[in-house]
Amino acid sequence: MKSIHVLLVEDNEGDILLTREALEEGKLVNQISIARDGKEAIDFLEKKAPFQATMLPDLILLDVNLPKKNGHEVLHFIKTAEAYKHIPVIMLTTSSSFKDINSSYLNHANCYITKPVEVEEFFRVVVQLENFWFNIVKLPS
Amino acid sequence: MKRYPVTLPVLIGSILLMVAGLFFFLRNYLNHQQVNKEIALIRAANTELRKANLEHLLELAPTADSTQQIPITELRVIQNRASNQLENDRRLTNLEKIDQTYILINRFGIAMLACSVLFLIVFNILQFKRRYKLSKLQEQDRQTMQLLRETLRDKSLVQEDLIREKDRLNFVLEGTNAATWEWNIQNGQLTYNETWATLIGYTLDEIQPIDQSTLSRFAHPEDMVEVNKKVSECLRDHSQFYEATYRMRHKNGHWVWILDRGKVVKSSEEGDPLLMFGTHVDITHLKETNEELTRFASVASHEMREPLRMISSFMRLLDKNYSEQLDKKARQYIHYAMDGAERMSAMIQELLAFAHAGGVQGGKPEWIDCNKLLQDIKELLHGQLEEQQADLQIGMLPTIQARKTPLKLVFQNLIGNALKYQSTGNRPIIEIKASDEQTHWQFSVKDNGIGIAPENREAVFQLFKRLHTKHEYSGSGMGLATCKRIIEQHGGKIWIESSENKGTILTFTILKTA
Repeated sequence: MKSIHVLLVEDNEGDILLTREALEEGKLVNQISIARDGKEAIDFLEKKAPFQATMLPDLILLDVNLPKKNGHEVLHFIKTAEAYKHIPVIMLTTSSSFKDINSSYLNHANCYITKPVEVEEFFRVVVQLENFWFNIVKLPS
Repeated sequence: MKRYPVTLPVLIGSILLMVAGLFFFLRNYLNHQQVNKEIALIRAANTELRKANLEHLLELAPTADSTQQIPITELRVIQNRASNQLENDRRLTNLEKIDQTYILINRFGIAMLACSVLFLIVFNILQFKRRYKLSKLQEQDRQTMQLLRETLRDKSLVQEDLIREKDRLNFVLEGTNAATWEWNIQNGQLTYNETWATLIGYTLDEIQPIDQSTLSRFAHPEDMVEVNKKVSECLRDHSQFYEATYRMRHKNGHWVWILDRGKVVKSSEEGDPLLMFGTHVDITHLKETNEELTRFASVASHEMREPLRMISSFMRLLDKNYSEQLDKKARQYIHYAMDGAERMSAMIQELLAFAHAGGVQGGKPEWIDCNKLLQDIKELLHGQLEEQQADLQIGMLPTIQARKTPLKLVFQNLIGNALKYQSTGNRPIIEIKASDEQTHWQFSVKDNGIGIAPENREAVFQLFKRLHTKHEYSGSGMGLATCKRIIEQHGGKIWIESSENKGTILTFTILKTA
């Protein structure tokens, strides 16, 4: 089976744990990398230290409120870089403000999801995300 | 009289004519009488002479028949008489000729007299007419003068009033340090006062020349679109006030928030706007405070909900994944923690609604068909209405101008309350009505619920004020406070008519030109 690699850009340890558990429940993703701020996410893609040995992810889950560089800046970086702009970016955030939503799509986010408050609902959404992007959708190789 | 200089000569002329006529008439009348008398005398004398001669001849006749010679003396007598008679006839002819002349002159005198009388009569009629006309004109003049005097007096009063008003206005402007502008729409001339320039850190001299482009020189270009739109709206409908907020660049480089308000104060008879007057107020501080509040709301929304979500999520996961390893007491602890987190989350949600009520988030005022709005709410509350078998009666509602989302929230809250505050088992009957109160629309939401005691009717509108424990009726204590805030933002009022056990009537108004 092909290895599926997801980069989760998230600063909240709780959310990292929740997302990780939800993704593992879906049983499709077998590699999860974590970046805890915007700069780290860019370094990860650029293979800067300490990420020299990493592979490019198949999918990026990106939070908006991040330290150092926020989600919009990271999104803009990815979608304007020839080497990375093919990677689907899913905005996964607590924000439901129109400003964040519109700005994300204008910057070519592939979709925007507001984190459900209920934990069961959150799990369901992550599992569906996984199913959609890795079972239904054909991704570039 | 001076206006008719011909009158006096005419009068004197006609009088002279009259006197002359009278003189001729009288003089010749007397002469004529005298001559007539003389003629009568001569005629009588002649008749006597003829008679005497005739009788004399008759006496002599028999003698003549007898061829007797008539004595010469007798003949001489008769001859004398005859010559006398002839002489008399000649005089008579003369006198009659003279009398003819007298009669002619007499008639001439009568004619003169008649003429003068006629003249006087005609003249007098004319004069009378002229006088009449003149008096009428004078009356008009008098009235005009009176009017003029009154007008002048009124005008001076108005002038005094104006000066007083102007002084007062100046005091107010000085006292409040208000920045003013005056725009002559016809010629485009703009006048600002010193404070206007001070607001953005300049003196009036520094921003010369002042014309229609001055404002756009300092105002933020992004804001000017809206400003221009509002100005032209105001010029189309002068009854409206013009109000706009925009940023202006201060001399020091920072932006100053300006509240600009004005009105067309003078229009032509055709209704074209001539003069507009307005003020500038620096609301930077207010804007900053408002922005801070909105930022606070945003922080409450995102930063506070985030950790809360963590609490509830992991509590739930703990409960789900480890409940077998926990005893009953531990599970109860988890339950309370989760319940608290959920209530706090709801509270934050409502606090946000309260903070955003009437703010920019509420959207701009638009025309709303309340019938449709209520139908939407009915569908939204469908489940709850069904569950309680509630009877929601909606009367004929108007189409009004308001912010849609906040207005919807008001109805939603009030109907929600009407459903919530019911005795157990009671079937809720809710009536919604509206009436036109000239300046306002008035709405009422009536229910058959538990009612509110008189002493609490004001308190229920306070933030976080709750009359019941959460076991009796759950709630955050923010619903009515939010409603009140929204209604007040719409220039209206909200109050309660209720008696305990007989239900509640919640009435609120919305300003028509909100």
